[in-house]
Amino acid sequence: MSTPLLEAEDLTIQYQTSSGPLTAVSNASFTIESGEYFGLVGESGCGKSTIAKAVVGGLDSNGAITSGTLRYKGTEVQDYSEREFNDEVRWKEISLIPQSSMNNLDPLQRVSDQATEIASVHTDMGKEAALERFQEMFETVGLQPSRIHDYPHQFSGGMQQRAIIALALFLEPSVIVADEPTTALDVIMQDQIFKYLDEMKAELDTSMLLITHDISLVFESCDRMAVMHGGQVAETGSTTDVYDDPRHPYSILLQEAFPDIQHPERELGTIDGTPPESYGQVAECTFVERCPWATEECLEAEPPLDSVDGNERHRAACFRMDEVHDRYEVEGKPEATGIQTDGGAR
Amino acid sequence: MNPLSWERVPQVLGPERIVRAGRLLREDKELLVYTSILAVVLFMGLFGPWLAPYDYTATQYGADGTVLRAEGPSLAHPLGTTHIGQDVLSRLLIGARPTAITGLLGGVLIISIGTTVGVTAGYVGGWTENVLMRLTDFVYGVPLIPFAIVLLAFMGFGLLTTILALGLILWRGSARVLRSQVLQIKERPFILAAKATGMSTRGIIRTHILPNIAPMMLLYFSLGIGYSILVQAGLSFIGISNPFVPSWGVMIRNAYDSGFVQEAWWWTLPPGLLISLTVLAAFMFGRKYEEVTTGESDESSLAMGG
Amino acid sequence: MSADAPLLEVDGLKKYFAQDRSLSDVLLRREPDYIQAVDDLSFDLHENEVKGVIGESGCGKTTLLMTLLGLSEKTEGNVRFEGTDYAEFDRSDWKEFRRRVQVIFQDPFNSLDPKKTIRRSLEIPLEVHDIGDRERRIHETMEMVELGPPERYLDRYPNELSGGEKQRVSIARALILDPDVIMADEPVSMLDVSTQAVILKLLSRLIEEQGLSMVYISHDLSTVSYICDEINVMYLGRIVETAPTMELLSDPQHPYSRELIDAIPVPNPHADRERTSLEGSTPDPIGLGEGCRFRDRCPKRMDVCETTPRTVGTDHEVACHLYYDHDATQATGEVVRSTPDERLAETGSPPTDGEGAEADR
Repeated sequence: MSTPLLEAEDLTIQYQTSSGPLTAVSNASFTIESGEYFGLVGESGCGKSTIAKAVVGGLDSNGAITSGTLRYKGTEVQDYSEREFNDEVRWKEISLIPQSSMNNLDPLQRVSDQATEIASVHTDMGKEAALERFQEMFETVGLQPSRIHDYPHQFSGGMQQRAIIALALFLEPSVIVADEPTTALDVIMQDQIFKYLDEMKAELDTSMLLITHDISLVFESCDRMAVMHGGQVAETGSTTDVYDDPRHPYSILLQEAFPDIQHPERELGTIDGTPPESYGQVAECTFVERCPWATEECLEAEPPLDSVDGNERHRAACFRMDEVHDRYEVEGKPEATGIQTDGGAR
Repeated sequence: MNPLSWERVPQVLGPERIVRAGRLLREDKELLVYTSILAVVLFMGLFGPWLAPYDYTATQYGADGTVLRAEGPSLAHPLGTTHIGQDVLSRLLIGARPTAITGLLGGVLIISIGTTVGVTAGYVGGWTENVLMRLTDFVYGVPLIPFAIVLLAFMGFGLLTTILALGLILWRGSARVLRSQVLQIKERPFILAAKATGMSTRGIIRTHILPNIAPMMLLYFSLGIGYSILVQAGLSFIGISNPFVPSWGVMIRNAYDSGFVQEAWWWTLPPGLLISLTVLAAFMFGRKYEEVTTGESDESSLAMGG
Repeated sequence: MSADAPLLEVDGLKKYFAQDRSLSDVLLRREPDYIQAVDDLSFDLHENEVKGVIGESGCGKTTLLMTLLGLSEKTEGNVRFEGTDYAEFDRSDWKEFRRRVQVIFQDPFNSLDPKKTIRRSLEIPLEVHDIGDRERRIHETMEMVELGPPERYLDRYPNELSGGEKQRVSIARALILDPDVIMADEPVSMLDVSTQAVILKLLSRLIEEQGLSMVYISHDLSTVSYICDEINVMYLGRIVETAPTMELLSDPQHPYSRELIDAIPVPNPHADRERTSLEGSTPDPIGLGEGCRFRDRCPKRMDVCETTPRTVGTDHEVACHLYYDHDATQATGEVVRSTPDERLAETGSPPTDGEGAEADR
């Protein structure tokens, strides 16, 4: 087994606030292999955006990785300075497709100039070579190569996003971090973009870390995934594993909550409550208040990410992962949530 | 439409507001400093005449019966005397009142006109907005000091006329800024929802717009106070003021006129220092307050973003 | 359900926005370009009916909503509430309208005045309409939207509530005047998925219990199906298809509806959905003349699509040339529906030289 391309191990990230250290991510672990598309799914407050920022070295000024490691191609990068990150990693190894293209394309610069600027800062590539590469990328994402000299406002919203993808790719990074790349776009445009992302996978052998709240995108486009809740990784594995055999209560319930256009008559699942905001060290499962299968045990410590049925590639962080699975198969989701002292038997 | 600038923000000094203000002051030391300075000046403005040890026009005599001309600080006269023997400290304390009045009235006038123009232009839009904004542009083009000189030449060199001159020009900044704030707010769903429930334009402005631009209004009110004091001091210095009302600006002018300005530092330094401190405190208070209140709402939305 | 007279009637509604002209344009007296946000739209709403309007951004659905709410003036056409045209409303008509027709917006973070407590936000509409017994009404409405006990929430400010809770308050505000119609602008699209269903179920229940009517606009077909009886698909200012929800989802007839539904991602890694073959993006609705507005991107385009298609069908309506027999229509003057299969068999791949259309004749 070769070294994974990107590996997070017990990563904890906190933000300093006036109310104390806000723990956005607690002991998160996951791995991304080369040439693999990995989806990180969760709802607001789960920490996925924080992880995205940490991976590209762009955490807000009051945020920091307080423990754990982040390894890129085997090298620990969590302690890299801004300079080191810029020189070694950013754009040419790991690049970012951010959420809203409007804030990330300089409206005063031609797109081609932005490309050459990026190339000169992060590589030794000459201007000619950079432009050539960039034009190729334009073609790959379905934009006319001659348009590289246009200004951002000359492109429509969807095309701007594609231009950003071209920018993120042309230095051929090994990992692209896509943070909700299509949230602001209409569904047809979203499909167009994912079509290109699919094609790129075949052509370029780039890995992608897709951060999204939409589990359908992950199921359709990714090979492996992780589900996060309240800063903790609830479950991780291949998309088929997590779909066919979800073990963490949140994975189960989250999937129930997503509408499926192919089965419109299906009742939509709901999850009570909201994710907690954790300060300081987290010593419980953050899903406990919302979980229908919670017990006292869940309050005592952070559940470790253990393998499911011995499969190292499929892991869930739940003390009751086996029981929950069996119960769910038989009874479906119980009515009440929160701690059940009788073990959740209904 | 006549918006309600005169029925301005009902900054109801209810118990909740006071508690919140107290907490803000305790938390932010900088804000506390600025508020204190302003409080001291206000105090001097209110009680100055009673606190002044001597009559501010009286000539002071020394133990030997001679007039104390331009004497330095001493126990009897902590800030020394002027060239005709008046006690500087007393003049300073008396002078606080016109300064405080200028600041407060000037600020009120500036923010009243500014809010009326800005909110009407921003909310009503259309031709009204065009006309009001062109008016604002015009006023931007009017140079302040020459305008003041001309107006005072016609209306007399009084404190109130000076304040009027300032107020008629300095509202321009707040008008622009408040208009742009209103433009942003008026598209927000809660305003549309208010319209959908049948609220009148006046009602919406009074109930929803004004409270939401209140922090910015307070900022510009503070700036207004600062600018008013500063400009009035400047006008006094160049002689466009009533020389018998010993505002701090006038004191500096008197010192300058007397020829003792280089030696009698005790005469020029205190008023100059106080003017600077007051204006600075006013500006910084406004800025800091706005920063702090905006910061509060930002932090609570930080937690929302995954 | 719809035997009585409609509450809302929209007839040939057009809402155009004139684009800014440069000085030279004005001097040369050039006609401004118009953004044809809503173009010749007709629509009815009866008591206790929930109609959805689906479309992507720029299709005009928000403009439609604003016009239905009377917050935006129409350019042409009629909009009637209980038979009276909005243009003929007098003051008391508007007062009544503003009590009986309410709105819920999509952004929970901006739908409530941040400077007002929850109680105040609910009280203000009651003050505007001079309705008494306020405490009781406020409490009742809070219970209706399942924010209980009300005391826990009433003295708080919006920033202390979660997204889902804020939306419930928005719904409470819409309900507090005891309206007949609620306009909803994607009320769940900014909420987490786990909360979306909760709010949708709540709305569904309230509609049932209070006998409300609703116009629900959204870009998300998958949630709309939960709450709407009927769906109208909108494209560039026009309604291209109208059908009962389940029917639209199982048998979308308009090529655009098909593309839209096919592009929705499916939460199943085993499903083998084909990616969209549609290229480009929706153009701006400016200076569009006659003809089907989807023709430039339509895989089934024919020559005849240069003329504006008429809407055909009774329960399942569609505005597409594929669906009516042009000859018969011309002959009898009435629109005669044809099955699309006949036409498609001829046309095959999208012709641009009209050979398909010819063969049919």
